[in-house]
Amino acid sequence: MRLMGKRQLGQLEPSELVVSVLIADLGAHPLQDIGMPMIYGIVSIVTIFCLELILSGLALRSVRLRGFLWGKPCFLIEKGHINQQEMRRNRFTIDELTEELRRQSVLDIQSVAYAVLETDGTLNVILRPENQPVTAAQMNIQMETASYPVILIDDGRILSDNLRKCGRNQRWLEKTLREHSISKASEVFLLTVRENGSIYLARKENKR
Amino acid sequence: MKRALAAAVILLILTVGSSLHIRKMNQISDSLTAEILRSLDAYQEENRPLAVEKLYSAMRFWHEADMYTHIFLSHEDIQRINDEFYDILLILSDGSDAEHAYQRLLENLTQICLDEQPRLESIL
Repeated sequence: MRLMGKRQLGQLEPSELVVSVLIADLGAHPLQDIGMPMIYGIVSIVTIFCLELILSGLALRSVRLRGFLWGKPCFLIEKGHINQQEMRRNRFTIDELTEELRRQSVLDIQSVAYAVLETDGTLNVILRPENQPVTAAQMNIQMETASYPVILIDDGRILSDNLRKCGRNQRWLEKTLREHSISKASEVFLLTVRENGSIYLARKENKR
Repeated sequence: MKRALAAAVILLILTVGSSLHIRKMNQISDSLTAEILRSLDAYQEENRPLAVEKLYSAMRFWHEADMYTHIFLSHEDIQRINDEFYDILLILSDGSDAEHAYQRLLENLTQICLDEQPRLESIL
C-alpha cells in the first residue's frame, strides 16, 4: 500500500482495493500449503503489483483511462438540487445521503450547494455561501502567517536533520534547554519550534 | 512515472525469467525422457537389468535437479514423478507388465512441462 502511495484502506480506488485483496490472498496460499513453492506466490504478487503500477502510471497521463479505471466523481446535489438520477445510478439512498451529511455536521439539506460523490466513495459537501463559516478574510482580520512546527527532539532523541533544516544548531538547542532548566535532551519528550521562533516543550514523565 | 517504468522493467525480467525456466524444464524433461525411453527399449527387448540401470540413471538425474524442481514445481508433482519411478522399479522386479507405468511417467513429465507454458489451458 505504501508503494501505491496510499496510507489507508479508505484512500484506495476500487481497482487498487481489488489488487490489495488479491495480493493478500496470493500471499496466503503458499504459506498455508507447504506443497506449494513460495515462488508461485512471489511471482504472481510481483506481476499483479507491477501491472497495477503500470496502469496507475498510464492513468496519470490519460484522463480517459483514469475515467475508465476509477470512474468519475458525480454530483448528488448540484446547485442545491438533489440529482435523483445520479443517486439511483450510484445506488445511493436518501438515508445514506442524509447520514453522510450529518457526519459532516450538516443537518439541513437546503444548506448544501454541492455534494460530490468521489471515486473512492467519500462524499464531499460544499455549503451555500450563506451557510459557510465566516473566514478571517471576509472579516478583514489580519492573521499571522501560518508556520509549521518542526520537531527537534522526539522522545529524547535530537533530530539533527530537522535542526539543520530550520536553521538552528546544537548550541542554540543547548541554550534553549538550559532556559527551561533542562540539562540533557534525553529529559525531553517533545520539542518543536515554529518559524516565528515559538517553542513547545514537553518534558518526559518520571517512570513509576 | 519512474515507478511505472521500474514495474515494466521488473515485468520484462519476469518474462525473460519465465522463458528461461520453461527452457530449463524442457531440458530436464528431454534428458529424462531420453533415459526413460532407453530403459523402455531395454525392457521391450527383455533386458531387465539394463532397463533397471537406465531407470536408475534417469532417477539420479531427476534427483540431481531436486533443488531446482523444489523451487519451481509443486511438491505434489515432484512426488508423483518419484512415485512413478518407484512403481516401475517395483514392476520390473516382480516381472509384470511395466509398459503402462512407463507411459504414465512419460505423460506426467510432458504434462509438467506443458503446465509451465503460458497456454490458455494452463492459465485458466
